[in-house]
Amino acid sequence: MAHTIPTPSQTVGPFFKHGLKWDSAGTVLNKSADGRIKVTGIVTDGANQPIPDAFLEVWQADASGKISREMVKEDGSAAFARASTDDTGRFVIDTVIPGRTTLADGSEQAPYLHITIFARGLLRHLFTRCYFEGSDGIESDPVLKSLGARKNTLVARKTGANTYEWNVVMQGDEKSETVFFDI
Amino acid sequence: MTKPWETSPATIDFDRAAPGYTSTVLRAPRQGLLRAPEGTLELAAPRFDKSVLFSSHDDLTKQSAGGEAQGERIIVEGCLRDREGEPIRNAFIEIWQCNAAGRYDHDRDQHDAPLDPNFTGNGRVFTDENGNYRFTTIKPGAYPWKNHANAWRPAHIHFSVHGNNVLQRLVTQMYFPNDPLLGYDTIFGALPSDKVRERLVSSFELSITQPEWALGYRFDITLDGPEATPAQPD
Repeated sequence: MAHTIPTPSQTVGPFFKHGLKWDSAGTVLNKSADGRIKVTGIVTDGANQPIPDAFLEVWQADASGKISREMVKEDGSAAFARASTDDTGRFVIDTVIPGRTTLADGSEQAPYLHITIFARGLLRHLFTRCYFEGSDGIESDPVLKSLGARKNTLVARKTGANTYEWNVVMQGDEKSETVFFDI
Repeated sequence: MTKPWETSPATIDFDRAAPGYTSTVLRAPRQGLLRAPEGTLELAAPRFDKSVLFSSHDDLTKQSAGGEAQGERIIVEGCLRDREGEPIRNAFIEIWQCNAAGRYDHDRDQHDAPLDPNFTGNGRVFTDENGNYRFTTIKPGAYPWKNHANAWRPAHIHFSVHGNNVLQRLVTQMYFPNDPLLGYDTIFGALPSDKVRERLVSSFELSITQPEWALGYRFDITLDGPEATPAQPD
C-alpha cells in the first residue's frame, strides 16, 4: 500500500563519516579518463564561517555527454562521487568536464555537475549545479539564463589550465547565496 | 520562448530552518529554492555494485572477530517504494547508529559513555526484487547533545537511500515507538506535523521478531521525487 506522505528527510548529523564510509575523496569518473580537472571550493555558512562537516555528492555525464551505466565502485571509478569538506570547509572534486546533456524537452544545456549537499544542521539535502567558466554553450544555457544575476553563484571560475574554483555559500544575501534548486 | 518553470515563483523554504535546532540557523538557505526543470541527468542515477565492493553488511551485531555487540538485538525490516507505491528494487541503503550505550564510534563524539569494541554501528543493505530490506543490529541508546540545556536525542538509526534517480535521494532517521524523548527532540520536532513525524517512527511487529533471539521493527520508506526512470542509452 502506498503511503501518501513521502518519508521526510532528517539531517545527516555530525557522525556520517562513520556510516557513509565510502568516500571517493571527490574522484569522479575513471582516473584513466583524459582531460582531468580539479574543482576546489569552500562551503561556508551565513556568518561566512567554513562548514567542516558537510559533504557533496557529485553526479555527471561523461566527457561526451553520455550518462554512465558503469557500476559505482568504492574506488570512485564511476560517474558518481562523494567529497567531504575538511576542517577548513574545503572540498576537492577530481574529474573531467562533462559533455552536454539535454532537458526533458530536448533543449541543450551547458556542461554541469549535479551536486547534492548534506551537512549537520541541514534538515534536508540541497540540490545545486556547478557549471564551468568558458565552457560550450554557457551563454545560452536555459537554466542559467533563467537565474539572472544569481547565475554567477553556479559558475566555477577557471583558475589555471586544469583547475576551477567554486565556493558554496549556504546562506547569504541575494548576490552571495548559492542558488539551490527545487526539483 | 518562456518555459513554464521560468515563470514559477521561488518556493519558500519552510522546511529547512528550525530555530529549535540551532545548527540550522546559519546553515539553512534564506533565498528560497528556485524551481528547475529535470534534465536527462537528474532522471538517471548511479548504480551500486553489490557483487563486487558494496558487499552487504546486514548484521551489525557480528562484525567483529572479537565477539558480539552488546545490547538488545533487533531486526529492522521494511519496503522501499516510490510515491506511486511501486517497490524500488536493488536500491543501496547505508545505515549508521550509536551503540547500546549511546556512543558513536566516531572521533568527534565526546559523550562519556562506553565504546563497544565489537560494534562499529554501520551497515549496508540492498533491497530485493520486491523492494524489501532487512538487517540485524542492536537497539541504539539515547544520548545527550549540546543543542540546549539537558538535550537528549531519542534512539534512532540513520538511513541513506539511493533511489531510481538522483532526485529520489533520501537521508533520514528511524525512531522507535513510544519513546518519551520524541516529544522533546528538536530535530524530530522540526518536521511540520504529527502526520509527517509518524512516518519516521518504526512499528514493533511480532512477526519480525525471532523467538529466543531478537525483537523486530518495521520501517517502510517512501521516496519523494519523480517516479519514472526513463530508458537510458547504453
